[in-house]
Amino acid sequence: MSDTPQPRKPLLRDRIERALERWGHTAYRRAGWVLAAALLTVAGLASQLPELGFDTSSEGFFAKDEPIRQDYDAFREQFGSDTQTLIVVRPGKVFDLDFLAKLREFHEALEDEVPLLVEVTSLINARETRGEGDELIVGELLDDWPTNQAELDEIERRVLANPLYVDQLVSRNGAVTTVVIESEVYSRVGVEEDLYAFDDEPTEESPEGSAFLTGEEVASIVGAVYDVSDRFRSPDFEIHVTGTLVMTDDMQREMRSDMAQFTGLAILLIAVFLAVLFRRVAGVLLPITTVVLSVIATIALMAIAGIPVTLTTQILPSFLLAVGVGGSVHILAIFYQARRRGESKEASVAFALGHSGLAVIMTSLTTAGGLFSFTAAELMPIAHFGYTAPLGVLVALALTLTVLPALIAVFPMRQEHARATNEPALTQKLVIQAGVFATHHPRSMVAVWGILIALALVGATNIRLSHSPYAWFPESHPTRIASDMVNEEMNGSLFIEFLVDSGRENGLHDPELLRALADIRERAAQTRSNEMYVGKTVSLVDVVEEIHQALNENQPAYRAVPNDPQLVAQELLLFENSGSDDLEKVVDSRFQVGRVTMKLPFLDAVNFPPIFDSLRAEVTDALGDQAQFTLTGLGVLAGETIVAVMHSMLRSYAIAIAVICPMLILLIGNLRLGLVAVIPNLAPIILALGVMGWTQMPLDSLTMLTGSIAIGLAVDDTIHFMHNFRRYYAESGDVDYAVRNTLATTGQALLFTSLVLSSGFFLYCFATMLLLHNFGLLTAFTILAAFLADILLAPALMSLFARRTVQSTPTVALETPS
Amino acid sequence: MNRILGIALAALLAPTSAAATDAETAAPLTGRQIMDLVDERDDGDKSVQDMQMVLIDKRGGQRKRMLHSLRMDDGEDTRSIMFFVEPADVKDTGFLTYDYDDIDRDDDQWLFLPALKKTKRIASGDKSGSFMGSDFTYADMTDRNLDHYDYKLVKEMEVDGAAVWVVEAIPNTKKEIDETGYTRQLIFVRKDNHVVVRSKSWLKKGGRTKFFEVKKLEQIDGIWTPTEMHMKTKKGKKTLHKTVLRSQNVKYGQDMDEDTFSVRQLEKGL
Repeated sequence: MSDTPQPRKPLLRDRIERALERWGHTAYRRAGWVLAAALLTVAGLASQLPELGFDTSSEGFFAKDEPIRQDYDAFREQFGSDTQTLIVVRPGKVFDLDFLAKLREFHEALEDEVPLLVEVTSLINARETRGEGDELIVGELLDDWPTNQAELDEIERRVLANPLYVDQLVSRNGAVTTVVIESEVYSRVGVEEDLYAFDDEPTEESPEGSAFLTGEEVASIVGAVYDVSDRFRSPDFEIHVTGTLVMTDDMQREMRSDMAQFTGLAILLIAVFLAVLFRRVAGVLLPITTVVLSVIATIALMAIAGIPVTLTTQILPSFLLAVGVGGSVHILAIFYQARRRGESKEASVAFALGHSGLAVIMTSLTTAGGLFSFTAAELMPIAHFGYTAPLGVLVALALTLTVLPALIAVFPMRQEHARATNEPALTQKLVIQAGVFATHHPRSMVAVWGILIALALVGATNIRLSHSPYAWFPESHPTRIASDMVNEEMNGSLFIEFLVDSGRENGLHDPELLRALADIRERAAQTRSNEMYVGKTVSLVDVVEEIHQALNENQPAYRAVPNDPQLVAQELLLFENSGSDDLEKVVDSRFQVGRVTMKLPFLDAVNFPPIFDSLRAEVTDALGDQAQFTLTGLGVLAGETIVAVMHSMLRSYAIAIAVICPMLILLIGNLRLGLVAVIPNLAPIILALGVMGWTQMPLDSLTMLTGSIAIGLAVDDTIHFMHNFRRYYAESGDVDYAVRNTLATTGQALLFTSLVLSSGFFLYCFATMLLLHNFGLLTAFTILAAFLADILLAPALMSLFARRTVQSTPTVALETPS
Repeated sequence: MNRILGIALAALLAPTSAAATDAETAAPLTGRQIMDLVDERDDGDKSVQDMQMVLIDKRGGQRKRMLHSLRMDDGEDTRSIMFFVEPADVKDTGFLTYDYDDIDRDDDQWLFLPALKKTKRIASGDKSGSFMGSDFTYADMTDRNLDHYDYKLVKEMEVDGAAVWVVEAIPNTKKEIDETGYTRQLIFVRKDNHVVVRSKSWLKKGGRTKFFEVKKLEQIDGIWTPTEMHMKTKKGKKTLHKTVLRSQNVKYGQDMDEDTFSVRQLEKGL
């Protein structure tokens, strides 16, 4: 392509600008109608706000049709939840009469008060199968409540000798004990029952569309657990509560309070900036009203579309406030300029829309385009952000073009006085000087940026991935303390599940296959990868060994798999009859698919894939051709999140660049300059990646957003810069003059929007959840870097490349017919 | 002897004598009175039968089990002995059970595993566990003390063309809840013969409900005998598991005595 003039575009542009101007008149004259229509629409949408859902679950990171999610949901359907609430109780001494009595009260209170309960398990009701002489005792550990120290000692001996208790119900040193609460998997919302109905449909297929627990249900479970715990807590009955549900609920509560807090702070911050910039009540109130309405409408649309608030989408309100206010600022700035020239309010509104409306539309589109790139992400919260954030930007654009002019019409304003001097403010002077310096020393400036970018690229190779939900909580957070304690005392708190499929009914009666399960248990105990290890493995073979030993007078030598398949079948039949429903937790009713549960320490998920790979290899080897297996569980989802973060980031960055670059080139109307203009837009993202690499700030499901958010916003500055630069350059053919004037007119607006945006993101450093801190810092940095690139790198590049462009095709390329 | 749902099953496992006769009573009865009628119904004694059990999982997969069972009721305690016939790998596995009228006394149960060639006495107070891997529990199969429940007549309706009372039963002791696993039951009692033809039970654990239904009811030697029963375990609207229990070759008043229900007989087999 050559740099030939393209006269049709400016004409189109002209037509659009005139249409916008006409719209300015209409909106002004029919302000009442416009406001009424807008307010009614927003109010109608807002009525749906109570439907807004929250999803902080680990499985919520994956779409329901992803194979990894399907494996997990199928597992939950067969075996129930692997999401437990874990209560760690630390007494002076576990095997103590007073303590056990209190533990029993605590256990019963939980059974009575916790809703959506499947089962409470603790030492109080721990199942025990043992042999005594000719008798087989099937019951609970404490069926015969101990009354003296000798009986207690005997129980302690039995507990610590039973591998099914150690690390599950009691720590190996006997210092702490746990109460495990298993909750329902599926929501009861909407499941009403006809008391007397006896439908006689054939056995149903898998429950398509069954909803998992809602946020409110989770909150009611966790709330009840906390209430009971608070009542029982005492110095000799120290209680710590953790587990997936608690974490999910904590995150939701922190998110709710963080969201409210940051929305308030963002409004305050923007008000301060607006007050400084415009020094008028209207200058503060009108943009804020416009943008607040946009946020309400967007969140309501989210509720209607059934998109939940997640760890990612929680930033939407404050994000949209900061991003959405820019359009109002640009229009108001021009409006006040026109008023100072003595124009009427209506004429000023129409002029402002005609002058800046198109720029506002174009910048909104590029921002939305950058954000839309997230829809390609594999991780659901990020894909959701990819739909909602651009939607919010477009809603803000619509309201900026409708509500803002109408508000101006109805808001009483004084006559503006022409300013006496045109003396630029200090900040403006600094911005201009920076730009002028860059145009005078373009090669050194480009060299400096080149070195920075090179350094950043080196740093970027060192980027550390991370997904560590526990570490999102501050170290002093009760959930974090409890989780650390469980990891330490109970040998881990992360569960993964191998589902071993024998491919035939009663396949798991086969002693060979059972021995393979025992082999898996031994191999897992030996498997290590960095700090990861398997703290515990439980499967059907543990049950078989236990009952075989019990039937053989408890002799330790019989803690093994019997050789006779008929004996296995008969022992399992006995167990089925023993009053325990434990079998359904480890094997399906056809004895075809067995569940092998492994417990690992819950470290950063970046550590998971290597040990999962080792375990897969061990299990494959142990099973040989006897059975197939799938690996699932929350741990696997967490591990997969890491991989997906990386893929999602690369994909969304590529898309953002692919979407925005052509838009930029089209807007500038010149291929060569358009390509050059891409450089100051990419530079800040590369710098951000470099900062992450050098400072070891982890790349996670939030910091990965930075790049595409930043590119969408940085382009706005570039558009404003190029828009003006081209105009002044066309006037003079002098880069120095063009840069100076560009920065004199738009420099302050660029500085203002950059400051609002970076401060808006910087606010996240005050969030409770640690993962927001890094995201806030990084994005604030990137936006400032983008600003610097626009006032330093862009002018330098223009003075190098515009000259050459001018030399090759004199003046016409940058000419804009006016 | 007091029975609720157990009555229907008890009938299967052992009945002896003549028919339930009462036609619909004119005066309105209380829940407790209805349950007394159920309790007083003659469900037979000294019975022999073959039981076919079909276990159906949530994907529709089926497993079949065949048992041969004998049952005797001496007016106080109930004794039963059961042997597996199918599947082959558990053939001849036997269970001997003494269910004592004294509700404070736990049942006695002996088990014989042919592959181990040993008999073990099983000590367990919990009746909420599965009966032979089915959806029926031991509590469903044994008698209950009416005094441990509060009964209320909640509805009168028709089931398969027969008039029924619907009685709500709520256990009034925690021990009863712990042992049976049920927190509440709706019991559907036929007005003409006092057979429990349906019940719906709410389980303490896991938000589950169980649906019991008599699908075939026959008069054998004048005794109303359910010969096909279904028990379905549901959670919300989903069926988790289902059992079909069929009785074949039911005979009452057979020749048996206490020696029939001994460990020696258990080890000897059928």
